[in-house]
Amino acid sequence: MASEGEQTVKLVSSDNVEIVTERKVAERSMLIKNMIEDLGAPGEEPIPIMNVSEAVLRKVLEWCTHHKNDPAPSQDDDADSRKKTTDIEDWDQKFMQVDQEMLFEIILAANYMDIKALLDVGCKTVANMIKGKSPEEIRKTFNIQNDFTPEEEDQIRRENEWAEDR
Amino acid sequence: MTTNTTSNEEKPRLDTLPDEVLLRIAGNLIWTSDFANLRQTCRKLRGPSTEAYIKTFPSNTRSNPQQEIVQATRYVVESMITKYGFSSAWKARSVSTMVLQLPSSRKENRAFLEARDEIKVFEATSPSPVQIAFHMPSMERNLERCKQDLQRIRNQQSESIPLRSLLALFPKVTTLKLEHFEPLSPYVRTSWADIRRAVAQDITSLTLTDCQLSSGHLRLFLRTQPRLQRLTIYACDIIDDWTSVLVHILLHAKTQDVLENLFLSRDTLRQRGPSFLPEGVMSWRDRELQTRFKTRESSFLQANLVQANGILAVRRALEYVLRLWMGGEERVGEVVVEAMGESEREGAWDK
Repeated sequence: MASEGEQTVKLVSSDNVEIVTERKVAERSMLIKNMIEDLGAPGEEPIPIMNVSEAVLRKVLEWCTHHKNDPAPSQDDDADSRKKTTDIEDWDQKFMQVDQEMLFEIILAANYMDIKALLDVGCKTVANMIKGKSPEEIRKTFNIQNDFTPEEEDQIRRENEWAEDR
Repeated sequence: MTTNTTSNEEKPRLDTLPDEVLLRIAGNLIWTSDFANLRQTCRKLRGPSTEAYIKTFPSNTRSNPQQEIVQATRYVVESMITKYGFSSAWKARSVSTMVLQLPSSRKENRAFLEARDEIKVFEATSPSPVQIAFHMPSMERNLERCKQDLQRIRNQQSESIPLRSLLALFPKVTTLKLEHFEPLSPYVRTSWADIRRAVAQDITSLTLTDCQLSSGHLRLFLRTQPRLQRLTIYACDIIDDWTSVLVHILLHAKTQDVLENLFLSRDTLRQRGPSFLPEGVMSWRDRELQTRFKTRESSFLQANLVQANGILAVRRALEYVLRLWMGGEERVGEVVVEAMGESEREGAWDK
């Protein structure tokens, strides 16, 4: 019988494409890990990943493959990960050099598949894109419609005076 | 290249991400002006981010540098003011209870949890215990150098929110709870005098919890609070001695004619420590006073006790009851002083 690390699992993307990958890689996702444990027979039954397309799933699995030997996430990771925005490994930084649409797709997939470390990297990447930008620049970067009236903008500006450097 | 849940018209964008993801992104910006800029971008990004800031405030204050804590404190105060509409005058006037939680060098920093008609404010002045240990001068270094070091640390690391400005926002506060105030700590810049100047003269109820105070501090503070009717002292470190504190309260009560009874409770005594009472205080002359104390689990002292019996007699009686109850503990669990006629209280001590 193959060891756990050599076992493979079949994942099916939302666009119905089957992808075979190492169990160890797939189990970076808590969603998949739990499903495997529930099914009890990894490799036989394809596991549907309902909300993630093939392209995004392959990208996510690429990240999981690179990080397959990372220590398992602990409960403290959630709090610790928010301390510094610049703590992104070089490989992860390069991995996240994708267009904005893909970046958000990866974040959504990580959120859905419960891969906290990947979700964290994605969120940090977005946070770094926001850093140092004015509200108008943020809107431009992310193509966001300003839905505040001029009066509301004034009010918000006043509320946020605390944040100006003293 | 889309997920199943998003058509081409519904490509994921920053402002369409789920709230929990937005919170995570905001969490990375949480102590900066970038966060404020994000909130000004659109409504969707404005809502959950405020909550994120508040939710993560307690955990972040334990792990972030001083400067960030100060920034966070300012944000939290501002956002609470905004969130609960305190910027409007009538709302601010409706706030009657305020809790000031000050950092303790012995305990983890705390943060406020919620505010309805209560505002809890965190003053960021305390470094973590690890930092204190790091800065603690070694035994070999001379005393003067140690003092200079401590002063330098104090100057560099202590930064407080302007208490006076803050309290001025809430002119109708009548109940004030002061927690973890340690003016003797070199890391705390706020003094009793600052508190005295910041608090308006309309306080009717004051609670001191886990604070450092002396009879002098209390006496001066009470002088500025002519309307004070209830004073609760809980688990405080007394710098001089409890008897002096209690005698001062009684003296003040009599002078100001506001605090009528001093209620001492045995039930909540805790925090054992070294004895603060001198030996040999058992040789009392005022036997009657002592007997009355001895037979009760709790006692009321009338404000005119001092006048009727003399300070010395009251002082000795207080020493006796404290010694009897506390067995040498330096911290009293709870002392309540309130303006209430003795007839309203069962078991009030009748002189």
